[in-house]
Amino acid sequence: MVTRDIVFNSCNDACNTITTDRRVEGAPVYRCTGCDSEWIELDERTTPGVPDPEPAAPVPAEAPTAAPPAPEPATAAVAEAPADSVAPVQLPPGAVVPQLMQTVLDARDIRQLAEFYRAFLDLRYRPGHAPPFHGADDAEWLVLTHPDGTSALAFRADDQHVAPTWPKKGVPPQVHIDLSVPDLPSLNAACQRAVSLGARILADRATHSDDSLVILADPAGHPFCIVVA
Amino acid sequence: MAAPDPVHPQLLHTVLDARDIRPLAEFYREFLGLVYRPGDEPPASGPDNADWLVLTQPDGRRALAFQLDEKHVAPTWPQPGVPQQLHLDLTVPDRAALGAARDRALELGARVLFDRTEDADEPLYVFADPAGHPFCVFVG
Repeated sequence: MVTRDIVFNSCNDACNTITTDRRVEGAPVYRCTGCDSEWIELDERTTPGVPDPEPAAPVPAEAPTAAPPAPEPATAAVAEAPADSVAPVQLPPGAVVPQLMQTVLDARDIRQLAEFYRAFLDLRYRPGHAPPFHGADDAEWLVLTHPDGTSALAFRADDQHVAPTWPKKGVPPQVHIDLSVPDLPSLNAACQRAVSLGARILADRATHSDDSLVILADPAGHPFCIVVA
Repeated sequence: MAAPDPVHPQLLHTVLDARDIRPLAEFYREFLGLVYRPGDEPPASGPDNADWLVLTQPDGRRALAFQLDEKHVAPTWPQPGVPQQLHLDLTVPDRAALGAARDRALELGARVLFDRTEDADEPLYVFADPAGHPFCVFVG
């Protein structure tokens, strides 16, 4: 049993007056009912070993009650799972299923962003994509691979790129990457390392017992999660 | 004293936002031959109110996830407005498979944004999935 202590911050956007528990679906973020902006609730903590009280604060009738879904606890033992109730995909004879190759991130400065992920995830440049020894680094497309050579991430130069403003309104993230570490000490170490490499923490839920995760923004502003899985 | 080995997180999966995640998950499940993580299948009865779905490879390795965002606005790329931010690259082994992938993607609800199949070096299509996220399919 755990106690979840929520300290409501005032809205740090515009109105600076409203407290709310209207959690935004899919994120450890609360929506201000005053100005309808979103902000990150950083003061939510769980205290182990204390019985859960009945819900203390009155909850608005329209408030969603579900916990944020993302990311989820690790899935154990796929092989032991019940049979998939969904019919397997029926493909025409000889059909080829496309393979996921890589996820591509847009940025104005793709070298900076590639260097971040290269160092953070221990990836390698595709041959020919390393920074040039001489002359200008005018790469418009960079690929990072796993040590075995398989593609992991790619970076596409976009001179007009505007960083996501999530969780605030404006520019949505659209797509994000989840990373996993095996345990809580690894999560803390990974976060420290990410910050030292230029990321910033958007939400720290590392101590949550049910879904331990930290949300960060990479140097180009793309949110990503590190989960214990 | 030597610094401890840094922790290198593993890429788990890529997550796509949408207002209606079931049709989007169904699109990718069928197009890429993926399977639901146990428990994420559509319910046999009752409402389907999933706000988070995971698709895996048939061997259980994570592939894609889908996050409900009731305020999701589809990317307008390549037009200005709502940027794509991230996209997926998919590969097929040859040109014949590329054409078949196009037919199947359209049948499943994608639309073609760019047809660059005449490119001698790297024939490819750029599609938008049913939620509007651009993705590429090319020979590789």
